Amino acid sequence: MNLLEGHGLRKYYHRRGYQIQAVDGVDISMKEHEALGLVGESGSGKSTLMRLLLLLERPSAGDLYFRGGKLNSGGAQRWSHFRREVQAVFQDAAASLNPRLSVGRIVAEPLLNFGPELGSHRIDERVAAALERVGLQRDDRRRYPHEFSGGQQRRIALARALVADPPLILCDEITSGLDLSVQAKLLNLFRDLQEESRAGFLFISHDLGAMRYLCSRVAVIYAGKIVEELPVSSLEQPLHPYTQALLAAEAQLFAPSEMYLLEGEPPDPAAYPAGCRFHPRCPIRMKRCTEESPRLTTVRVGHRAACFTAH
Amino acid sequence: MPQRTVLHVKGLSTSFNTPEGIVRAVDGISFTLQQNRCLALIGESGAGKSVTALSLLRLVPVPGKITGGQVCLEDCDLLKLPTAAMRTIRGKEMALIFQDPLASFNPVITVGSQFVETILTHEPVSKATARKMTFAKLTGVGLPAEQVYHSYPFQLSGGMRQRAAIALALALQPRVLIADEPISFLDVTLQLQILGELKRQLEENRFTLLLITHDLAAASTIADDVAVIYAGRIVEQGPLQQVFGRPKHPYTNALLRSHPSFGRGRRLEPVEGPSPSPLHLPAGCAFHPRCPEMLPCCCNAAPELLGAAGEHRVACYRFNTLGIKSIGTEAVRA
Repeated sequence: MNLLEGHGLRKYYHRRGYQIQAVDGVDISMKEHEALGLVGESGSGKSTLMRLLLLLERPSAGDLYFRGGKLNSGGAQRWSHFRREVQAVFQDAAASLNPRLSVGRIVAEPLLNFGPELGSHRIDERVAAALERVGLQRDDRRRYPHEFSGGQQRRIALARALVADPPLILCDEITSGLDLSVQAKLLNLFRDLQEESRAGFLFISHDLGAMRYLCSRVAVIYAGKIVEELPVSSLEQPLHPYTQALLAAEAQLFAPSEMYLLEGEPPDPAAYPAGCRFHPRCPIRMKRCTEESPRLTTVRVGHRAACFTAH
Repeated sequence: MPQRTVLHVKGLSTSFNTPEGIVRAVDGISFTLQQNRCLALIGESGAGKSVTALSLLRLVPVPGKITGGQVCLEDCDLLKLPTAAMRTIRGKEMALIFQDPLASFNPVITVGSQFVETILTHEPVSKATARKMTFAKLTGVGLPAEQVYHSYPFQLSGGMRQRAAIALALALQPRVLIADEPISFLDVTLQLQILGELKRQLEENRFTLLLITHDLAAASTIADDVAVIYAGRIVEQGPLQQVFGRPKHPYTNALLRSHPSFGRGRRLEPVEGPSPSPLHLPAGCAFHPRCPEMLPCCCNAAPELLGAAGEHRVACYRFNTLGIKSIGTEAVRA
C-alpha cells in the first residue's frame, strides 16, 4: 500500500474569462519512508500540487489516497484524520510562524491539536527534544520567531513538523534564499532526519542538485504536468529534453565550457501551447509534438517519461 | 590578447556608523578589472559584496561612508571627483544591473522612454537617434524591439525584463558593468540564458564585468577570475580554474564543499558555526573561530593577501608563512 497516491489530479482556476490549468492530470505516488523530489520552475504548478496534497485546496478533478483510504470524498472527519498524519514546512518559514507566540508554543501546536492527552510536562519535553533534534537549543522555547535568522526559522518550522512524528512531511523550497553554508547544514539535517524518523518526505524544489542529495526518486513537472519521473540513480541519463536541460543547468559548477541553452521561457499558464507543452522550447521537437500531447509512459522500471522520443 | 586594466580598486574601505558601533562593511579591498573579462565577487550575505558595488559608484547609502582607498577608472580616481562629475560617470562609464529587474525600471513609464531618457541625459543626440539606438540595443540582447519598446516593465516576463535591464545598462557603452546578483530572481533555465547573454555581450563589446554573486555555479559559468570575500575582506582571489580547482583558503574550500554538485554523493561539509556579527568581528583573521585549520597566530593579526601561485593569492597564514601547498581537494574532484 502506498503512503500517498494521487490519480489524475487537476486544479483549474478561473480568472477573468481565462482558465489557468495550474495542475493538469498529475499521477503521483509515494511509498512509506520514501524521499520524493518534485522539481520544477516557477509557475510549473508544484506549489499548487503541494496545496492539493495537503488538502488545502480541493482538486478540480482526480482522487487522492492516503494509505489506501480515499481523501477527497467523505466528510470533514476524514480530512481531520489525515491532517494528523501530515505536516508541512513552507517556503516562507517566517510567515508560517506566528510572531506573537513563543517558539515553544509554536512547536507544541501539533501536539496540542492532535496529540494524545499528554500532560504539559510531556509536551514540553517533546518540544525541547524536537528543537534539539533540528540543531536549536532547548531554551529557545522561550524566545520568539523574530529573534532567529532565516535558516533557524526553517529549523523551527521543521521542529514543528517533526514533533508529532507524522508519517508524511511535505517541504516546499527548504533551501531557497539561504546562504550556501546554511543551506548545506539544512540539507545534512534533512538527510539525517530521513534515516532517523519514520516519515516519508516530499520535497518541492527548483534545485535539482539539492534533490539529488536528498531524494531517492525525482519527478520533474513542467507546465502543470509531470514530464519525467526517475530514480536518482538514473538521473544522469534522463530521457526528457527538459530534464536534460535542467541537468545541464545544474552541472555548470565544474563544467563551464558547455552551455546548454534552452530557448524561450516557460509558457503562460492561461494559454498553453497545443500538443506537448514543452515543444516551443524543445531542441528536438518534431511535427507530431505540435499536434499531440505525449503521455507519461513507463520506459523502464521506475522510470516514466512523457516524450515521443523516449523509449 | 594583452590585458587592459579598466578599473583599479586599491584598499577600498567603507564603514557604517551605526548607533551600536562602527560596521566595517568593506575593509581594504583591492582588485583590478580587465577589459572583456569577468571578475566574480563571491560571498555570503553580509560579506560586503553589494556595499563594494555601491562604493565603486559612490552610491553608499547613509550612514555609510567610504573611508579610504582608491577607485581608479583608467587614470581617474573616482573617489576624488566632484559630485557633478561623478554623475556623468554613472550610467555612462559605469553601469549597474540589480538583482530585481523591476527595480531598474520606473513602473509607470514605458521601457522605450526610459532608454531614450537615459541616452538623452548623457549623449548630445536627437530623440529620433536615441530611439534608433534603443531599438538596436533591444534587438542586440535578443528581444523583440518593437514590442518591448512600447511595453511597461510589468508587462514583460522576468527573463525579458532582465535582458532589457542588460540592454539599458549597456546602452551607453560603459567601460564597466556591475551586475549585482543578476540571476537570483530567475528560474534555472532562464539563469543560463541571462548568463549566456552577459557572456556574449562581454565578448562582443568593450567593457569589463564585475559579477556579484553568492552562486558558485553562476560564477563558474562566466567568470574568468574570482575573488572570495568574507567579512569585508578578500580572502582568496585568482583565475577561476585555480581558485575553484585548488582552493587554498579554508573558507573557499568550505564553500565549495557546501555545494551539492561538488563531489556528488559525498556528505556536504559546510562551515561550522554562525557568520560573525559585523559589529564584533573577531580579532585577527575574521574566519578563525570557524576555521578547521586555525593556528595560534590567526587570532592576533589578519593575514595579508599574498601570492600563492601565479595570479592566485590567498590571505591565510597556513600558506603565507608555512608554505603548505594544498588542503587536499584534488581527490574530491577526481
